Amino acid sequence: MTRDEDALRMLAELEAANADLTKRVRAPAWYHPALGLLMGGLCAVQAAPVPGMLAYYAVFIAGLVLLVRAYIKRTGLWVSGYRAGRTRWVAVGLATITTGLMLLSAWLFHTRKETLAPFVFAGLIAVIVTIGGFVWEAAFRADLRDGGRL
Amino acid sequence: MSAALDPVIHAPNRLQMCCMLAAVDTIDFATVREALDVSESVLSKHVKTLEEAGYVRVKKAASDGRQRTWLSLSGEGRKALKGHLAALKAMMAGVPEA
Repeated sequence: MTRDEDALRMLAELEAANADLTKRVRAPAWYHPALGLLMGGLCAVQAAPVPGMLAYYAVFIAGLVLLVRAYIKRTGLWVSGYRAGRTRWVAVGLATITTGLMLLSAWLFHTRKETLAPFVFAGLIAVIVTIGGFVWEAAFRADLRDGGRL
Repeated sequence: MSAALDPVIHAPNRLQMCCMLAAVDTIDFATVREALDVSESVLSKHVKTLEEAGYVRVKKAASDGRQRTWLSLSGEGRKALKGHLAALKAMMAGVPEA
């Protein structure tokens, strides 16, 4: 085998590895909606009394742990949301939007006495996080198809 | 072979494994074995070679009531893979279009 043929073979193997990974990195269908609901709940509890908020934080953490376990069980791997590539932009965008909406909701609720704000924004966050999760996965697969970022 | 090609990564299964590891934080040994379609003993040898070179970190952890082996690429391994792929692409630059 010549040097060039060897290089071609290795690049083909690299593509095969990425193609295999692309097939594996599919979270369960309910994963992103569940994450969206958990995140939305974080906003909705702004309207709840402190014990209710604390109880929800415990539910939130337990929910995250269960989601991570389910993802790992299905895919056999774990990927950081903030990994380099397109995925980082999606993750940073989602984190910024979600944080901004939560702060806006808290401001409306506490200073403008808009009692419905946490619930309206909770719904909005749930939808955005759900869609964002699918967008993140698509971005990850696109990164893999392009050879990925190291 | 160019000196820039890393002999530790050069073996086909090890190159594939490094590429898979580069894309994720951590991956289960069984998942890699299934993806590469190799036996446990063959994969163990490759993992050992990469681990001894400091390219791969191996961690054992209980999950779903059983012990699982998790693999991740080290910073050194990522750097070596980058160099290896750059060397490959440089070699390919001289190949005419089909």
